[in-house]
Order: sequence, then C-alpha cells, then structure tokens
Amino acid sequence: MIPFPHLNLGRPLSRRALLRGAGAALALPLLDAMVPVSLRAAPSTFTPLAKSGGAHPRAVFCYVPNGVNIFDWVPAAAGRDYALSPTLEVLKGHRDRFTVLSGLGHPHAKGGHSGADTWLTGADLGAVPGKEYTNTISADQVLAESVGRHTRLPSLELSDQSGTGTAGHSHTLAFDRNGTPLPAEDSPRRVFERLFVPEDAASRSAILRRYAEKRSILDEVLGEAKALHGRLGSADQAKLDEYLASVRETERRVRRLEEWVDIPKPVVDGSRLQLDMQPGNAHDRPMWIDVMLELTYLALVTDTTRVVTFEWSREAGGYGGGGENHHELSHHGGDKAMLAKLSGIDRFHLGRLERFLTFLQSTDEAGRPMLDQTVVVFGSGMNSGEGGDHSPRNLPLLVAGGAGLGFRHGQHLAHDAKNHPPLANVLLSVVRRAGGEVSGFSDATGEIQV
Amino acid sequence: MWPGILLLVSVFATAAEPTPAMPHPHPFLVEHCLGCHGAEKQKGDFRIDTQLSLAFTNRLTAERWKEVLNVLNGHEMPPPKEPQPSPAATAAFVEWLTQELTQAEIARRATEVTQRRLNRDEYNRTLRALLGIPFDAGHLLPADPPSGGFDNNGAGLTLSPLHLELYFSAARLALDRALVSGPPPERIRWRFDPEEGSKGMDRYRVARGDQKQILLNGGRNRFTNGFTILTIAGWDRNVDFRNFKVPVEGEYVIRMRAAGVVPDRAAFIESVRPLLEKERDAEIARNPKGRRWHEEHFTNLLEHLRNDAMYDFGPPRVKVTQHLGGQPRVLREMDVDAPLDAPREVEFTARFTTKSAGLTFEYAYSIPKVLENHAWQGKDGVLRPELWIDWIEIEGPIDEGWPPRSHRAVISAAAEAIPVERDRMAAVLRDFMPRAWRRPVTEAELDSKLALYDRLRPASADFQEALKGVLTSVLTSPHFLYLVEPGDPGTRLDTWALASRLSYFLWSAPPDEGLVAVARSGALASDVVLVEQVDRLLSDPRSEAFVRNFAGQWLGLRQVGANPPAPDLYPHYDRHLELSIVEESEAFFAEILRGDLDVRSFLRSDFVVINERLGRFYGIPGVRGDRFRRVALAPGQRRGGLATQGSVLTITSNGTRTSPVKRGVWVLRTLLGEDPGLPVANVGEIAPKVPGIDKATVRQRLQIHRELPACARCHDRIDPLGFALENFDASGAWRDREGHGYKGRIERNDPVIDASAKLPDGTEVRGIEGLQEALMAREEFFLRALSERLYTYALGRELGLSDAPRIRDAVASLQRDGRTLRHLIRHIVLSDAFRQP
Repeated sequence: MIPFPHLNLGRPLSRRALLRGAGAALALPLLDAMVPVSLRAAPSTFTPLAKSGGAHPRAVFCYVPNGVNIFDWVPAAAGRDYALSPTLEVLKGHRDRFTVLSGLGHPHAKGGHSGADTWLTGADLGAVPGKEYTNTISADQVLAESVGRHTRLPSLELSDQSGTGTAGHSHTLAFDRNGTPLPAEDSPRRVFERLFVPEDAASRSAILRRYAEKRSILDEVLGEAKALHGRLGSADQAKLDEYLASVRETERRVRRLEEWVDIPKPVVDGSRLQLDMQPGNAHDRPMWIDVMLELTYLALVTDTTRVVTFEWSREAGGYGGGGENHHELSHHGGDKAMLAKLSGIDRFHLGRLERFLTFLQSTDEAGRPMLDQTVVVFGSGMNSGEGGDHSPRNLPLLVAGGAGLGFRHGQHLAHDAKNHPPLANVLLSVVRRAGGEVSGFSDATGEIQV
Repeated sequence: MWPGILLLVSVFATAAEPTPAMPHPHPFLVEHCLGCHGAEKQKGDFRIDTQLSLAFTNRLTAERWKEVLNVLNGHEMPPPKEPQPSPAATAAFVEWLTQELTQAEIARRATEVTQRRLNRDEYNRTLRALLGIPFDAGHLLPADPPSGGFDNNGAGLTLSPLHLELYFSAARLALDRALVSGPPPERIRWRFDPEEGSKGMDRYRVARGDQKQILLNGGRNRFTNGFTILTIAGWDRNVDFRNFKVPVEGEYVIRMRAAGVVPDRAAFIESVRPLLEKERDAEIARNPKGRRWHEEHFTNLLEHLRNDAMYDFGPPRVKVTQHLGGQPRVLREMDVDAPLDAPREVEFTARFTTKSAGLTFEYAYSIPKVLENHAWQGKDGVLRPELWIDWIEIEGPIDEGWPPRSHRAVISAAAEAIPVERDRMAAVLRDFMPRAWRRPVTEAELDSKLALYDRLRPASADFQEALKGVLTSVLTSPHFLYLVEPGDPGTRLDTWALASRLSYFLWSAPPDEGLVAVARSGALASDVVLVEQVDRLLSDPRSEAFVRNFAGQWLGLRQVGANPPAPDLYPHYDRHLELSIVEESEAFFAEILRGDLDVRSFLRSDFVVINERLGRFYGIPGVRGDRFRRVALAPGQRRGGLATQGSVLTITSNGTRTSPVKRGVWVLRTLLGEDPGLPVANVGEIAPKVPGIDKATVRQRLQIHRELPACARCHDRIDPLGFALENFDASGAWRDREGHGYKGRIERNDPVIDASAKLPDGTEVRGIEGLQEALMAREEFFLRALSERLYTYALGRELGLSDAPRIRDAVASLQRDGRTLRHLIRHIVLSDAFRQP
C-alpha cells in the first residue's frame, strides 16, 4: 500500500483542536430527546489530519433547503463591524473567516421549491419555448472544467437522495454543459469506496485489462439497448434513453480511470467513519451530515477532487432535529413558535458547517490553514421571508474560507433586495478565484468584491 | 380535499359538482391576491398573472399551484391585516384548484405499464434465485424512491450512471462469489467458552488454528457450571471474541449453546424489596418529618412492581454484532427460549471476509428505567431474565459440496466437461441467458455474446475470467435490468412476459421452473393455468416478499421507528417492541392472505397475531415465546384490526403525543381510499395562528382550530377518525386518561380520554369499537381502497381515469364472490390490464 504523498497520517491533532471538534460534535445533535438511547448512533469520533497533501485552490458548495429563518439570519448592521446575528453566532469562532451576503438572488429564478435546480446555475428553467424544463451548466462544473483534470474525480456530487431527482426537485446541485443533472450520491459507504478503496486487481496491466473489459461490455450492452429501443413505445423509449445515456457516461468515466491508472488511490483509514449512517433515518441524520462532510474533507485533503457540491437535503424535504418537518416549518406564516423552530434547524446546520470549517482551519497546508485555499459556499435557493413566502429573493448566503485566494472576510455585504447584482456574480468570483479560467458565468455582470 | 381518485364520490359527501371553465386569473385570485402579487406589486417576488397559468399539466406550474394551496390551507394568505375572503369562497376556490390539479395529474399518467427497472429488492432476489447464493447488494445500490406509494413504480424507477456503475460492480461481485476454482477451501470450526477468557494465557488471549492472538472476553459476569451468565446490558458485560481473521471469505455458521432463566414476579419483587426498604429507611432517618410521604412512596413502588406488565418477564434476548474491518453490523437479535435443563443450540449464518473480525454478544432484554427511584437499577442482586451462554462457535465456510451449488448454477457439470473453451462458453450461455433474461434468447443474441467472449478471452487470465466478463454483460443488459414487455397496446403479453409479471408481483423474484414450463408451453395464457399458478405462488414461502413489500408500503410499516415515541415519556417502547410491531402487521396480513379470511378483518378482527412481547404490551396474557401466532381476543381486550396495531398507532403519532390529524389521514387514506388533499404544510400540526391554544389538551387545541369555518373544511373529515383512536397513546398502549404528570405519568385527576367523534355525515362514533363499526358500514370504500392499492402494486404504475371501471369491477367481484385477498389477486391477474403490455 502506498500512502498518498506528503501526508503525515500518523500524527493526531493538537489536543485543543480535538477538544474543539469534540465540543461541536457533542453539543449539536438535537434528536436526543426523541431517540431511545439504544437506537441512537454515537457522535462521530473522526478527527482531521494534521497536514494536507498540498495547497490547491478548491471550492465546496453546501445547500440547505426551504430557506432559513431570515429574521435570525441577517445581521442588523452591514460592513466589517457588524454584530453576528443569533443564528450566525454559531460560527463566531470563524467570524473573520467568512462573509455573509444578504439581498442577493438569481433574477431568473422562479421561487417555490425549484431553488436547488438553479442555485448554482442561475438558469431560467422555462427559457426554451415548448420545453417544460431546461437548465444550464452549474458553477461547480464550470470550475471542474478548468481544475478537474488535476484530480482523480473532476468533481464530487453529494446529496441526501441518490440520483438526480426530478425536474424542479433536483437531488443534485451539479449540471453539466448541456444542462443535464449529474447524479449525486447519498451513501457514505459508497462514497468511501469510490474515493479510497483500491481496485482489487493486482497489477497495473490487470487493472487496465479490467477497464478494457468493462468498455467491451459497455459496447455490448449499448448495442443491445439500441436494438431494443426500436421495438418499444415512446414511454418505454424514454426509459431506455436513461439507460443509453448512463452507458455513455460510464464509458467516459472508464476512459478517465484509464488515464489515472498509474496514480494509486490515497490510503485512508475508514474505521472511524460512520459509513452506515442513513440520511432518511431521523436517528442518523446529524451523524450522516457529519460523515458526508468528513468524506468531503478527506476528498479535498487527499486531492482526490477540488470541487464538491453537497445538497444537505432536497427541497421541500429535510428536517433538523426532534422530528421537526423542515418544509412544514418554512410555511410559518410569521408564526413566532415556528420561526423559533426554524432557527433551531438553522443553528443545527451551521453547527455541522462549523465543525467542517474547523477541520479545514486546523489542517496545515504549506504553513497556512487549509481553509485559506478552500472556498466554502453555504446557502439556500429559497427565502421563507416574513410570512412563509417561497421567494427566490434575498437568499441566505455565506462564503467562508479562501483567504489565500483573495477573499477578504469578516463582513456583512448587504445589498438592496430590490436592486442587487445577480447572485451569479458571487459564483463567478468563487469560480475564478478557485482556479476557473472563465470570462463569464450565467447572467453574471461581474465579480462581487468579497 | 378530493375524493378517491377513481370514483368521484367522496366517502362522506354527495357527488362532486362539475367545474365550469375558469379564466386566469381566477376571480378569487383577482379579488384577494392580485393586489399584492400582480402587475403593481410583487410581494415575495411572486406574481400570479405571469408566474401561474392554467397549464396544470406542466409540472413546474403545478408545483407553484400546490404552494398556493399550501398558503391558503395554512391560513397564511391573505395576511391578517388585509380583508379576508369568506370561508365559503376560499373553500370553493380550493376545491376548484384541487380538482384541476388532480385531473391534470391523472391526465398526465400513462395508462400503459412502463417498462420498468427491477428495484433494489427485486434485483437482490433475482440474483439470489439465479446464482443460489445469499447475495445482498443492499449496501451497494441506492434505495428506490416510492412513487404512487410503492417502490416498484416504473415511472419512478429511474436509472442514472450511478446505478449502472453499481449494477456493474454488483454483478461482478455476485459472479466472483458464485464461481470457484481450485481445491475446496480450508475450513475452520472454532469453539469458545467465554469464561476461558478469564483464565486464558494472559487472561484473555486465546489461539485457534493459525490465529494466536484472538481476544476472548467473558465480560464482568458470573460463571457457573461452565456457563457465563448475562443479566445486565453494559459495555463491560458483553461477551466477545475479536481480532481474528477467517482463512477464506465466505458464509460461516455462528452457533451458540445457551439457555435462559426467567424469574417469576413474586421472586423478583422479593429481590427488589430489601433495596427499597433500605432506601426508605435511610430517607426517613434523614428526614423524619417526611415519614408519611416516604412510606407512601414505598407502597406505590411496590404497587408498580406488582402491577406493571413489564415485570411479566419473558425469555432473555441476545444481540449479536459482527465487526468486520472495524465496521459493526448487527447480525441477529433473538430470544433465547430454552430452560436451564435443556439448553439449545441456536445458529445462523453470516458472511466473513478475510479482514480482521470480531463477534459481540450483548444482553438485549430491555428493562426500561421508568422509576425515578434508582435503588435497584443496575444492581446485580435483583432478579432479571438471565442469559446463560455455554459456548459459541464459528464454523465455515459452509460446506455444500465442491464445487458449490452457486458454481453449478452457472456452469453445469456437463458444460464444465466440454473440452473446447468456446463451446463450453456457448453451453453456459445457452443455459444461463434464458434464465437471466426470463425468456428464450435468439441465435443472434447468443452469437453477440460469443463475439464478446472472443474479444475478452485473449486478454483474460483464464477461461473463467472471460466467462465472468461475458456474464457481467448479461447481468447489466437492459434485458436483465428491466422487465421488457414488447408488444402493442391492446394485445396480449406473451407468456414469458406474463410469467415475469406474475412472479415479480407475488415473489419480487423471477419465475421458477414451474412457471417457466407453462410459459414455454404457452399454457399460461389460459385462465385456468394462470389461476393455478397464482395459488401455487401464494402457497410458496417466497410469497413472503409480497407480504413484506406490499403490506409494508400499503400500511406505512417502513416508517416505523423514523420518529419513535420519546423514551422518557414511553419507557415501554424498546427495540424488541419496535421489531415486533412491524412483524405483527406483516404477520396479520399474512394470516388474512394465507387463511383466506374476509378482508374486512383488516378493519375489525376478533383475533390478533402477536408474540410474547406484544402480549405483554397489549395486556393479552398467555402468549409465550417470540413466534407470531394467531390469538383469539377475549372481550375487553380492545385490539383487532389494523387501526389497533402498534405500528399504525406509532407512525401516526409525533413522538411525544398522539396526532389525531395524522391518524385521521391514515384511516382516510388507507382504509377509506380517500386522499385528504395535496400535502398541506400544516397537516399533522395544529395550525399556528389560532390564539390562546397554548395550555389546552391536544384534542381541545384541535377543537378550537376546527371551529374556524375555514379549517373545518378539511378537519371535519379527518380529525373525528383520529379522535376515535385517542385511547391509544403515542406508543400504541391503551390509556383511559391523558397523563399530565411528571414525564407524562397519569395522575389521579388527569382528564379522562374523550374518544367520541362525529363524522361529517352525522354518524356518531365512540372509541375504537365505534370507529370499527363505522368503517364496517362503509366497507365499499375499503374494498375500493384495497383494490386500488393492489392494482397499483400489481401493475407497477399509478392508476389513471380509464382504470375506474376496473376498480368498480374488482369491488363488485369481491362483494359477489368472496372478500379474500386471494380472490382479489386472481381477479387482478386475470384482468386485461395485467395481461397487456
């Protein structure tokens, strides 16, 4: 086994960093009152590494559904001297490492629960006459087109439900250049296997043989599918089109694996990862988010990918703690009790984010924290507003990390929700600073100076 | 609120009014909404005239309309400071919008069966049947989203590159496990005496085979006559052996010789009494003025020990966890039901890889910490069910001859003997392909696979490697992954496709040899043979898949445990109970299916199907052992029928309290076939904007809410059905009063449960008996609901408007010829819908 280069896997974190991590893990699961001890999963014991494999710009996009309690989210004052809002207080340890942006939105977004579809694309989903739905390339994929060739995976897509979901209720944030959704993965175990479990074949030539075999097999089943296609009615043909598209995509992936055959997967010990956590299980939920972020961290620290999208829950779904239904609460109608519960969910989410940022901050990368090279965008594509609206305006959004990429944090950038630059401007800034060589993106009119 | 989708007659109402064509925006919207969401203002960036249209069949438009319904049903809009529409006007608009959306949704549905992909469970069962190995790709494949209530819905079963990638790996893995080469593997049989750990080499290291460093841990337990006695759960009480590696990957038997001692209640009380007395005396000594209180407390505790059903102890339980490469997995939880003078050997199998492994045996009989008095908690002297372990063995890989069955399932002995490799390949394919694709294959298809073999063979290490490659292509082909049903609408399916439809309906698995025979002969096309096959498949143990998959989803059993009763309020709810309530509903369904009982037993039955744990929970004495069996109910036991089962009662509660709304919705939807509407944001919650509700009981709070005319629109139909179930608490236990004491305890003056209700048509019902009476009086609605669900599951598609006559036929046929599940299944299988593509 070859450990991945330049990485000290043995040295644990400093005691202080450990305690910080442990504190976050213990304080946050909100389900305790609801779940019998015997059924409850223990908090994660994962600890971050001391050093990363090398300093590379990277970007992580984290999405939460149904908006937030915007009253408790948006800080009262703008600028550098702003006081943290009650919700953002959770991130106070990182105050100078993130910027909260208010007032932004995608001008073409339609509101309701299609926010995840357009959060990273800014597309007008009804732009093409005669078509129910069209989307455009997402910011992460634009970035992956530039930096993806450096890593085993051009990008990694995570979500709380595998696959792509349906139009308007996407289970993935990532869309390729044709606007086709890229399927996301919800199983920690499968992600781990894909990222870190080596091919079991013994030698390079054996692995290459296996890839060649796989391509022959894909050719074969593609032929079968094409032959079958002609014999079917139109509804069945549409079903088979999914199959055909999947075969072609798999072929593309195999070719990529062939290019990477000489570089072994990094060796990562999975024994402290709670790989069996399930997103749909109320007991597991906090630990599931944690382990997915731990895998995100591991994917970045090993330079397995530099671009990650993670939809923490699909739109109109999700829950925070205590069995509360996140979507129901987003229809709060201004009700104080429901808003308070929403804030509880928001703090729960930010607690998970805080833990993740702490991993990145505590990992050394060429003498600086890894967080300095990693931009983390966190937000929602919906704003439940003052009265439980489902508006695509004034979206909750924050950008953390990337101090080494030119981000100047510790501020609240407030925009006028009625007259604001498009959200795509933020995405363009993130893409460019994380290494994307692009002249523009979506409907961006320029960069936002964060 | 809309009536049952296919019969536009509501269970409680008169016929629906025809809806006149409406302009956009609807006058209601113009009057109440357009001012803020129109050309002049766009509050919340929402504009009715441009962002909505009457194109209800457009998915995005429909989604937006559903949000409009949500804000109206949730009383969010118009805002309080604006003029409010009359409840009648809102009701009329909501009714109109709901109708339009429903019609559009039904109109969108294809009424042909979509060629559907095997779902995860079907995929697993199919590989198992094909290869004869206990294969489970569960952790490999993503769960399939249910659509229309079931996860075998063709429209919902999409396929992405992720799936294909995983099908590829799963097929490869299954073939690697099925096929063997070389001599039979080395086998092991290691026995461990847990107490050996305490006197082993350095207290806990033992050697077996070439494994010299196995850690054997008997736990901090008593050892008597060679037995290790577990009486308390705790990390230091577990018995385990770990840090070993089996020589080869495979299936191993885990065997345990054990017995149980079950204390009787009197002895138990006597073991606790001294501890309680000691505590009482200590308290009195400390505070003599409180003597009366402490004595009363002592008496109450004794009373609790004498009366609480949880001290009717059952046999001890054990939970066995496998640790493989650091990952824990629960293998088995079970009762050990054997007396001390006749210990039993229990065994089960588990797969081991050659990674570092361990097995842990935990005491799993749950004794909830219900008492604030902890005098006897965790004390060894207190009697509890005792688990006596004699020894534990691991043996394997399981010997079933060499080569194993799985190998022979792919390569027959005759094929293996063919000297020319290519001919051998052809022989394997001739046998394997038709079984995998569930139909005969053409010469061209066969040739194509042989051509693939020719491409793969030169680069493959040996014949078997190339063979695995070719068979992987067979198992990732659309012909394997989909139920391919070519043919024009209106024609009959060929007998091969029909055989598959039937076996996936009743077994979630491919046709067996018997079914293949009648498919090949064409006899399956006849009604008589088809019915014979239905009966044969139902009497086969494989129909367990139908019970689990159909009943599990129809009744919502998969939601059990997602939001369980809070442990401090419902201490009797434990893991054993959670497993038992699911199995109860499945076993109840199976009893009605296999016993050809009247399906109205789902509404009301004079029996239950329970195990000992449920007997204790429901207060039904005399049930011994973990096996589920039919038990006749005595008068006053207040169970029987689905609505009294723990599974249904807990999934319709919200963890801390009952939810009459959720229960009402469940009854309405499941037993009466009526959908209470699009997902209303506040269903299951009391609407927030009713002032002054904070300190009332659940029922009273709902009552206030319901009195608002706008809310009564929906809640009048829903809540009464739930109120009638109020005698069952959030864990499903019977209660006469709603507890307001410490941690939900029922105190003397707590309010008596009011389980009376008035249905919208004026029928008065009282409690569960009343509800069951009312449901029985509406049996037609239940028969309709059941037929709709079963048809949906059988066809793997949602029903459309054109299916309405089918449902009417099914109901009529049930009423005419016998109300049994078997009859309904036969009726569906004989229908055109089932026999056409």
